[in-house]
Amino acid sequence: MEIRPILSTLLRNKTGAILIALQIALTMAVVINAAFVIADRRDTMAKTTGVDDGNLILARALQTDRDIDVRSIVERDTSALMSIDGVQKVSKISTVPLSNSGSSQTFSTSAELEDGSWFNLAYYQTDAVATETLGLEVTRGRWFRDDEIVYNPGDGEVPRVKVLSDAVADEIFEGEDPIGKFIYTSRGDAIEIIGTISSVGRPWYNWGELYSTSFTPFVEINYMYAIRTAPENRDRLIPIIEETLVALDTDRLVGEPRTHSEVIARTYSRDVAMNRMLTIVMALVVSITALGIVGLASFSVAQRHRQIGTRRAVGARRHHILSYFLVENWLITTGGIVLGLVLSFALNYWLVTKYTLPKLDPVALPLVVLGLWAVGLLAAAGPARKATGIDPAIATRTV
Amino acid sequence: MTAYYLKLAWLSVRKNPLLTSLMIGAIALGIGVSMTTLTLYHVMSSDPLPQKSDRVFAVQLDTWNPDDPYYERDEGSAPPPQTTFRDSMALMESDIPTHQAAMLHRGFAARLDEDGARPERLSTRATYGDFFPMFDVPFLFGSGWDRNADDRAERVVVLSKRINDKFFGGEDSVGERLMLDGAPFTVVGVIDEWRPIPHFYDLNGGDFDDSEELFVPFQVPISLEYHADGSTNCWKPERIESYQDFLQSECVWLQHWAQLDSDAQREEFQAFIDAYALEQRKLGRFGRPLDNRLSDIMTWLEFREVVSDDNRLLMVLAFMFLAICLLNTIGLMLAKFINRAPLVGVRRALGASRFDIIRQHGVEVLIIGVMGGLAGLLLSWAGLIAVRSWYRGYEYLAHLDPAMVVSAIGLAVFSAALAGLYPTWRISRIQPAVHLKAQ
Repeated sequence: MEIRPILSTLLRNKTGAILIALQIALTMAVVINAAFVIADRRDTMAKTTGVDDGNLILARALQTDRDIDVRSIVERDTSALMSIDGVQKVSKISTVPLSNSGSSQTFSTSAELEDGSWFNLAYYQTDAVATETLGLEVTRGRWFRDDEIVYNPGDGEVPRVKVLSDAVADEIFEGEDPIGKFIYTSRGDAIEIIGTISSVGRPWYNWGELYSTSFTPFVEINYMYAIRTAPENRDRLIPIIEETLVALDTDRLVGEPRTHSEVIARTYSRDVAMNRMLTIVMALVVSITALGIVGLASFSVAQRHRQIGTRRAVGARRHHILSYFLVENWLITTGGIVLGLVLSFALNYWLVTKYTLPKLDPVALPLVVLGLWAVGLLAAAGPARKATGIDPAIATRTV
Repeated sequence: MTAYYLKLAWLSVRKNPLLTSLMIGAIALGIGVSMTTLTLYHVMSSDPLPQKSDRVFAVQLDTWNPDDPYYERDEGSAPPPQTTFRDSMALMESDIPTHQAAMLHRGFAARLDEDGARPERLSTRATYGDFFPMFDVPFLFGSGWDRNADDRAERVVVLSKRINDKFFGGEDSVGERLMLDGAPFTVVGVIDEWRPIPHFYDLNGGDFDDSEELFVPFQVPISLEYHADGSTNCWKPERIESYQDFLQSECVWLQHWAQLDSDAQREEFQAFIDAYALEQRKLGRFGRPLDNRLSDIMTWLEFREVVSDDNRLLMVLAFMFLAICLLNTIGLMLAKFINRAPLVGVRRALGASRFDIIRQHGVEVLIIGVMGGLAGLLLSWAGLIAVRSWYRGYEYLAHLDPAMVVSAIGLAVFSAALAGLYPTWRISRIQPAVHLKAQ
């Protein structure tokens, strides 16, 4: 295939080519940057919570009365919930991963507070069966015993033991066995590490270290119930759980139970929506550009009707005509892509400096380039095929 | 003559329906996408209290950790967005501001007295009586409460319209009783529909939260030893065992607002809080460089970054998309006009001036622009419905208002005119002789 004549034709009739190339370049900048943001959000959302969130239902029963026996109310509620067919395990817990509300506390590694290094731990306060309810694996040491759980108000003491997430335990104790070691609160209280578990994610969306989390044996009356079910029963059980909690005490405020997955989806709703919008913009941008290529290619075929006929009359085969238009289009697309590369990085640079966006990762580039070539060729294929159908006889008619 | 051009344009539109609908479609899509994101941006950056937003100020006191600022930003450190209880109470003593209110958000279990129905958790704002005149809250029945009620933590409540409709059937309920967390409260007022967007005075729950259902005096939850539902941030390792310890702590958890009507009043209040901070410094507090801020509403919303980077990014991409659509339209229009060159050649040969040709094609461009704009409006309407269903809390905010409708059509016609500029110029420059010869 001779490229020279195609190039010189292009150069003599620049406008259409420039328009297409500019469209391709802008499309590329939009697609690359949008795809990049989408991938970034996907990564964030794919981070595991470390708990069996797909099988958990969360329910709250709030008590305003303060003169109550917390332990007996929790035991009554728990046994009522456990008696529901399909409920596997029930725990009282202060908060869950990605609920976006939680607490953290600062600790030191040394009793001489100033000597140690300080770190921040998010904490989940819960009971003795929470490993089963949440689906946690005890990796070292042990989980809390029943008699270690502090009920508040009532017991009037502060727990002195903690279980850490694996990742943060390794970080704090630099790989040494954490079991039996102590960490110290800012008041100097010593807390013993009795076990570690498979790492659990933080309660917040984007605050604090992801796996800097811990568990404490502590239960308050207004903590939520985490209820583990089999996946097939989950949604069916929600109204039953609500009725059960209401029936036990009609003065309580029972919030509508939610699945943990729903809570997580709410936390990520902005990211999901953003990704949807970006995906739609990407799809529209590519289709508009493709349609533009179809339009201009048809026009250029129509304009060169007679020339094509002449070429055919003097011996060009159909595939010559086809490849002429495809190569011409490929040249334009490639020109657009080169310009698009510059534009993409310029846009990304601007976004990085102006907004909190990570730097462009060039891994996806070849994919986008291939994709745009394909779109260009596919869009030009229709008009080019039509061009091959032009009757050579046309050359003889209107000279 | 214009009527004739309109007819010509219409014929041309009809003659090549596919190409024309492609052009209209391209403009419509560009307008649809950019107007959707522009509307979002427009509403997010809107002024929630336009009549006095420059006279109402958020109070920020820099009580934070001397070694580690609350905000570490490009433009330097900034004080925390909320205040401590002891500082807010000290500021409330000042009579410099026209109105002033500390506030917190909290849920209360509400039900009618002894009707046996299950209590319902209602979002409640505990604040000072000044809240209502400061934010121009419209009342349907009754009014807010006075400083006496504030000081004595009187059990009075102001209801939202929705709650008054629900509990009292929309009647004037002033003087009626409502049980909140088991204690009787007297209704003193019912407010009309009031939903400032953004929810500027407390951004903890979400920037576009609904306004609260109930309003009670600030000291009510304090006397019940309640914590807030919002966010409470503490930095100092200090012993907090009782509620009193908490109230005296360095934890920030309250929102504090003041209305200052003149520059003089504002300077006076700024001097007052700075003097207070210096006084407190003697007690070992306010260890950071003096940076107490009074930010009017729009400055405050900008400081809290209510318009997110996501929205700005979408705007940028949407307008690039519009640019692509316009390039597309230029190409298609060029194709269409050039195709007609022989006809134009005849018109020119028969005496039409260049200006006539420009007018003829200009009319066609404008028709395409208006049609694209209308279709684009329809698309942005659909786009906003989608946005409302995807984003939690956007139900009330993503709506087209008349200003946006006008700007959508304006943008479409402007874009089409821009796209039509080059093709129209090109067609007006053709040499009649070349095209006449070919026929």
